[in-house]
Amino acid sequence: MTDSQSVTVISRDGDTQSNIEWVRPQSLMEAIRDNDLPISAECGGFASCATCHVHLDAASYRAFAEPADDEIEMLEGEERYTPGTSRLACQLPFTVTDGVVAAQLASPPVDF
Amino acid sequence: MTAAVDGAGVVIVGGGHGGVEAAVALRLGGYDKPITVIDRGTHSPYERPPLSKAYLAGTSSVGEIGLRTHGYLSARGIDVRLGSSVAGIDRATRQVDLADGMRIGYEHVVLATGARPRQLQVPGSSARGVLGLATIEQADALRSQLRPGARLVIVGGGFIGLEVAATASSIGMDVTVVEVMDRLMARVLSPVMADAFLRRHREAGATILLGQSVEGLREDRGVVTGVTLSSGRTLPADVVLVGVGSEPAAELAVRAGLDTERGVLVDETCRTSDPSIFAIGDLVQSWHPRTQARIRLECVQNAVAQARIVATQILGRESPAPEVPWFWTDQHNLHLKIAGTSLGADATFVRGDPQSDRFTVGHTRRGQLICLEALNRPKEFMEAKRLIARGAFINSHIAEQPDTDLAAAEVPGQEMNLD
Repeated sequence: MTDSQSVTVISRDGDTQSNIEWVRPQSLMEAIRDNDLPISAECGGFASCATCHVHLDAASYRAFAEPADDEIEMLEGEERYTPGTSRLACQLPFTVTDGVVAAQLASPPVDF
Repeated sequence: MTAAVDGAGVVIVGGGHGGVEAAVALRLGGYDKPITVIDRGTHSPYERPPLSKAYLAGTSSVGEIGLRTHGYLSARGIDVRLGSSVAGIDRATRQVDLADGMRIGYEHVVLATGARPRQLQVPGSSARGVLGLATIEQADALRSQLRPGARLVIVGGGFIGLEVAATASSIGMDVTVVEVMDRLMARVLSPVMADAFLRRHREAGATILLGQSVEGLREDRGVVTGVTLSSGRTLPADVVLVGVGSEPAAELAVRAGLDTERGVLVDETCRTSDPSIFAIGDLVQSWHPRTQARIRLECVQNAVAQARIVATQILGRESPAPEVPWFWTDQHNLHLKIAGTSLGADATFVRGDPQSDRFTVGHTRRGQLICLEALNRPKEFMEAKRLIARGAFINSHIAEQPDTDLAAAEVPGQEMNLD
């Protein structure tokens, strides 16, 4: 069983890229958050706040199960929602994909 | 004022959502002095919301409800001391006294001790089988009593009690909820929304008794056997959950001589009456510019937002703008998200069919949206957070038309007839 997956995280403005390791049993949100990248993830992972909204590349998007109706509706309320790329990172369980997962942050960042 | 002990950093009391977030936000913000988190509990910091839902139902484990891992915190030089409690704060010498006799110097203290379940003040309330719910240990105790056919009486029809009722009904327990008010969740929900939850719980087989108070608990050899109501009726019970609200765990603040009144009093920057001591989360009564009142908010969002405010204050940076508070509860298939608080509302509108399980109740004050209760309508919740944040004026007649977007009901303030 593979327990690690490479992820490229692109900043909201597109200017910076970070390569991180996503490890079981983290959700994608936890992997991004625990690598100290600027994701607010306010509710802690319950699909309740949409502050972990990311855009995935097409291949990565297909690697996950379809979003639930609730998640889609949360995303529809987001300013940067795009069907077919938008996901809540907290709803993406650890998954091994063929290539590197590319995820661009879409929610307003938390600024420390 | 005495200077801080050399090399002293921040001591955070309480390792819940607020305490852990404060530690992380400080470190990520570049704070380079010691950060110590003191927590009474023996579990690594964990999320509270699942305790009445997935954790109670057994569908998520201790490992899955962690806030941040031990590895994450220790790699960032955050010293988490579990099973440890604070005896007092010596403000003159700026030292925290631990119960085990150790002393830790500080330049700032962050109090994040939260709130604990209020206990019933009736005869029999200390019998075995009478439980509260705020910690993993309490959730474990309750979980061990959940089995099909067993009789659970829940005292209090608030968020916690009803989330437990939903979990217990779904595994086939015989559930009765006793609420003293004439509707459920009366402190936070509009009557029409409370009715939707009442219907759903009854459909799921729970007995909901409104306007009934508890006179005492029956016990047999120290174990609870029933709940006696003021009507004289006794409900047989194998286990009793008490969910009648919480009280702030403010004893340490009181002992330290800080100003308290139904919670620790703090200003907009979360400073207590001692400027080197902050307090956050369920523990505090804080001034909220939006409501123009001091309120005690009990929610994850507020704990996290206040932790981030404190971190910026200690780092000497500008604090983030005050957020619109928000809350959520999940009971059966009802997912309710509330943006804002309805305190001071003077009008209400309903979007959608209140007999269904998908509708919204909005609250306005002088035409401005201040709160929205969104039942299974997360998109409107998201829109409402933005509308409330910018003080949007809403035309209720437009908002009540079922096929319009909530945002389409926004009107310029000067068009509102405010008199």
